[in-house]
Amino acid sequence: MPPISRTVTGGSLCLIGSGGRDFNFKAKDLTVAFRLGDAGSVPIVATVVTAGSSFNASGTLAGEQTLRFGPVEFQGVAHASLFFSGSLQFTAKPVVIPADSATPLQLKKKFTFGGTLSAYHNNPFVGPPGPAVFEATLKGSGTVVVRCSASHPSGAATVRDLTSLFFGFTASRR
Amino acid sequence: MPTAVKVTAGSLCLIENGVRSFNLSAGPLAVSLHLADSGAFFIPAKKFPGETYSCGGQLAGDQTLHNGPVDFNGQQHALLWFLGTLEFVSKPFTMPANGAAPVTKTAKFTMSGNLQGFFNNPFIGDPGPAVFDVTISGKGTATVRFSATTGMPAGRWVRSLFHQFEA
Repeated sequence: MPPISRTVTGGSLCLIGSGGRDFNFKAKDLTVAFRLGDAGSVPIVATVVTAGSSFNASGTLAGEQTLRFGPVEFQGVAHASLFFSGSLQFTAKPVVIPADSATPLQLKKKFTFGGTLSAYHNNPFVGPPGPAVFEATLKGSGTVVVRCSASHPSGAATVRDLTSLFFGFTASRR
Repeated sequence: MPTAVKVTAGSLCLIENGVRSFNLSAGPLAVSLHLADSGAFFIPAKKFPGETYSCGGQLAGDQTLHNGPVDFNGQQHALLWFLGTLEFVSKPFTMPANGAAPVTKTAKFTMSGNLQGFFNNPFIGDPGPAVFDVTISGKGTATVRFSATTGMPAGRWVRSLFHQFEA
């Protein structure tokens, strides 16, 4: 199967606290849902922010431990579960955290997405996986929503907890 | 009194015989639902030329909505149990002719309903007060992919159904 290049036209990466992860996308003749093992380097775990500081939602999902496996539909054929390898980068500019308040925050920034993704019937990290079902170079863009708690004291400081990151792809082509 | 929220981003991804992925972002709410089945959506299914297919369907009840992580009003919850009904409405279209190539069709959809989240499963006892209670609405574009024609009688299998929410 020759490598393919695709623009993501829909999907979302939803990260809630330390344990909530859901990621899917669609592109021309390709639909993927990941059973992520962790949030990779996306800064969602135990993150607090302070007024006036900047927060950057950028991060990478890569490798076996993070990408793991999931169902795929490619060129009209459905696969109940394939193993993934690759590296997917989400890149956003930092948001500035506004003044402290008793209300939660929802802050939005544009993001871009790019990387490579390969899928196999067998786990490529434990032996020869056989030929790839697909090898794709991916790109995309969208809006990330950064959600934070109301401000609250933490020791001598006043902070907000980062509660979720939601990357929503849009269909616009770069 | 339920809070009214509008979905501005998210996606429902159903792949034939695969685990399901559904998440949405709606004002103070971000949620990922660990769907236990595909509810009333027509996947998997085999369709034949001249039949109609609709990307509409319903997700409702404990067996389907199940549980998942929630961020509501600035508070995150690792796992809540869901109760409610989410109705996706989309205009049916006529299945195309048989052929050797897969076929992709798109259709607009609207979604509306209600969703509540509880710390305990409401179907096996008193769940306690709802952590959140929303009426919810949204819209977007659904993409359905059919296989190449196969088998006898000759028809196309629904391989994936993807609902993309739009602001």
